[in-house]
Amino acid sequence: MEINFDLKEVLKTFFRDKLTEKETTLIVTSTYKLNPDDLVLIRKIFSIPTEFKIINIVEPKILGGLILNFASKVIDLSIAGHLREFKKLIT
Amino acid sequence: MEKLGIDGKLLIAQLINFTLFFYIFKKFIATPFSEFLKSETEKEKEKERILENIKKKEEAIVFEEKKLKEKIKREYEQALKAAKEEAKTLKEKLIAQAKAEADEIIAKGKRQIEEEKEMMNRQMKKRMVDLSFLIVEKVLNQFLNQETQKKINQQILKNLQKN
Repeated sequence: MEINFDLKEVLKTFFRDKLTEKETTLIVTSTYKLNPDDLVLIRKIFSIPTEFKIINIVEPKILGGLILNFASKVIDLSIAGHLREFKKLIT
Repeated sequence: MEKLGIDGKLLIAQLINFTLFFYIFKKFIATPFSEFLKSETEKEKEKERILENIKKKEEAIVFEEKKLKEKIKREYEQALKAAKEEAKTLKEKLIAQAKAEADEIIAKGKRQIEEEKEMMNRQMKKRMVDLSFLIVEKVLNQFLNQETQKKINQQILKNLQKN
């Protein structure tokens, strides 16, 4: 399939920006909106530079705890995640 | 002699006549006839000898025939016996083969049943686990209010800080 050269360039730039954005953003998923003190504590614990963004996503499905996404790394400290691990062990 | 009524001349003539008759009879009838009888007797004897020979040969042939029949009968019985034994062996072999195949089929069936049982057990276990976890999730959803969740998050962050 022949793609238009200009369109290709635009898409390249878009995905590069997205990738860069992902590498400089920490996504914190929780069951409720975290207060700023908690976000500061998280930044301190994981030694995240100040220029990096922290985004808090509210997701009740995780039941409790936190899920931290940074670039391609995921730290699952949620209750739903623990339940899934436990289920894998049993089955 | 005349008183007795015997004629001498007649007697002599009759004697001479008788002698002549005897001589002629003997020479021309008795001797050839006896030779003829002799030859006939010899022919008869020869015939009997030939018949005897034929009879002996016939007996020999009958004996040979009898021997041959017995030989054929023996060979037939031997062949029949061998064929019966072979058939018996083949029958036993076929029975053993059929039994082995039947056993194999039964074992295969049992294995299949066991495998299916195992699979059903696994599926049931999985369903039970899924159901249990679903119940746990629903209960936690209802039980964990915002206060409790905040406490959980505080504890997590505290633990992370320690490490």
